[in-house]
Amino acid sequence: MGWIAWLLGMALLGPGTYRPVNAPDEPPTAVAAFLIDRAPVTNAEFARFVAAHPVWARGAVPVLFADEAYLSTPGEADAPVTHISWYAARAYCQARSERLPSEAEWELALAASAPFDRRRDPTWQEWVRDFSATMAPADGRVANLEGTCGAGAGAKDPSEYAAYMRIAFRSSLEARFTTGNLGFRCAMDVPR
Amino acid sequence: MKMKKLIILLFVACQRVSAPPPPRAAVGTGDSIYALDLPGLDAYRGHPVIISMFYGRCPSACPMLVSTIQWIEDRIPAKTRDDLRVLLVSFDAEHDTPAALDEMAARHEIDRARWRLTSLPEDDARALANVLGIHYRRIGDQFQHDVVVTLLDADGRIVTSARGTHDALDVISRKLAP
Repeated sequence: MGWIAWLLGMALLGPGTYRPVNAPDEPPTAVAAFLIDRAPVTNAEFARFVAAHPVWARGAVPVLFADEAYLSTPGEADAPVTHISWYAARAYCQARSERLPSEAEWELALAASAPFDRRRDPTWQEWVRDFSATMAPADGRVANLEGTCGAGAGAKDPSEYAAYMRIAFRSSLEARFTTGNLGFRCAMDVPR
Repeated sequence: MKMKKLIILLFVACQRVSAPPPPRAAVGTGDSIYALDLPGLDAYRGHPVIISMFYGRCPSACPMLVSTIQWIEDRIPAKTRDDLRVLLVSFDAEHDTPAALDEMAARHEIDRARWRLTSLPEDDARALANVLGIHYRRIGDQFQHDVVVTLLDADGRIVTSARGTHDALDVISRKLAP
């Protein structure tokens, strides 16, 4: 299975568990084995998708599914595509018969990525399927975070600090938003 | 040195997190939620639709949601009601099977001629929830979720929506029975 994943440009990861740093009291989420792209989707790859599915072109996409900045910064062919909405990212992965990774899968993949551990990079973000699950729990832990950035400052090590920042960022998103530091990659279940 | 770097990072990250969000989608700009192409969702195309999301094992908010929509229907003229449809979509496809939804419809005396109860798998449920502005997350055996009730026009465009059952009763019935 591992070598098939390699040929697909994907990594085989899991099973494992994930618990957000801001929810230490919740039971961890179980994550089944999954496949995930080794690298974010590039400008060239997304341009090919748009050519085949013109409804996702800048100017053609319904405003319900992308904001004004959608695809506003054409970058280098091999660079990760940014200014992309959640709907567009989802449609891209669907066209490949894949899906967006869950937050838990994405965080596990981040932890496994070597040699550069991107958990320590608080500025790069990627869409996850369930970003809208990141919301203020009843006791307001994430709400506090979003308002002040204070909880991140209290983190003991830089990887935990960056994880706080990602949670704050995700909870501030809406699916049609696009930004210059937000890309995506696709994932899939391990075929049985 | 390390501390200094961290402070700079914190500053940069906070700037990004607190950047003002782009303006929201204008309502009635010709965008239809049917463009999401979700399975079974456009069964009521051509009718105004009240749409919301729930999960069947929900102890409090969801029975309240059903009652609220029934109260809205009681408040509006019969002619408007006859044309209106109601679509309740569960994000708990694992438990809200067709049989479980049948049982729920019977328990709440739901008018199956004009109401449709269905569930969507995670990927599709997330897409619908995002369009409707509903956040949900699974915590153990339950879901934490927003209650948002939305009125769609015959083409699937959002006419208005309300957060919480109290506002929904007020806002949606006033829109339907001005």
